[in-house]
Amino acid sequence: MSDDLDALLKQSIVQPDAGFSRNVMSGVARLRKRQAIMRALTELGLAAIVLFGMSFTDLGITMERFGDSLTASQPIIAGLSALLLGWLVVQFFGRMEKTGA
Amino acid sequence: MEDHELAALALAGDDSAFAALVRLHQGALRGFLLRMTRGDHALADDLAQETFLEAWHKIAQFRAVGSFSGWLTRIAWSRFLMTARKRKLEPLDDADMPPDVETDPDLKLDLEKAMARLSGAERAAITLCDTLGHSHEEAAAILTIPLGTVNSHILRGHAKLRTLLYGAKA
Repeated sequence: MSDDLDALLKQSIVQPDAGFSRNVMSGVARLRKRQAIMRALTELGLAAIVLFGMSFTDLGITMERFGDSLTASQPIIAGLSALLLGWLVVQFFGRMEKTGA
Repeated sequence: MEDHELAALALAGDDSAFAALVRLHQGALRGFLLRMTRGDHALADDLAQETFLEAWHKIAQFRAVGSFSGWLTRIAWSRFLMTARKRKLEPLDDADMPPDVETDPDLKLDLEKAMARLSGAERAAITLCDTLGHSHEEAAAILTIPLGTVNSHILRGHAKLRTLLYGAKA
């Protein structure tokens, strides 16, 4: 390679930042929020499936009796289900608050 | 702090570490993409932004054995190829100079215009090795082509650049 060409090719092509890094990090923040929301929704969906599966299929509790089961027929299962659901809701809003979504 | 340490912190959820990586590498990456897109600033910056977001998403896949800039540039190259195919920007291989350039000995161009006449692979190989200082082996890994092909692209690219910059007698 001739010296002239060598020197030409070695010329810097580095671009000034000019706010680019800030834009990227804004994009990262948006991605993080979206991920948190998707994860929380997935957890809630899975929990709902588990709860319905446990409460209404395996244990034979009908929709009409679900309210009653909170106090009478299946107090332990209903209590645990309510606690689990409550915990998931707290997790969901906690994560939303943490990410600022 | 070294790149791999910053990458480890970014993997652990430290956004300031990732921001430091972006600040360190954005200039060269955008310069590379600007040359690949033949001076299209908007497209180059879009590709660079997508590259960094993909890097953030896949930071767990970064292995400290290679350089972070090499890993990043490989993502950028892959993004560029996808966009080039989608938009039919250029033939990426074996794109020889237009005949009028070959036959006009008086035609002399500045470097960026001359670069734009090279094929994408030649432009990439020359930019990575001659301008950004990557080794030929690193360039082969980034462009996912054999080392011999990188050498061929560079030799052929240099010959074309000499003709374009200094005329047929160079």
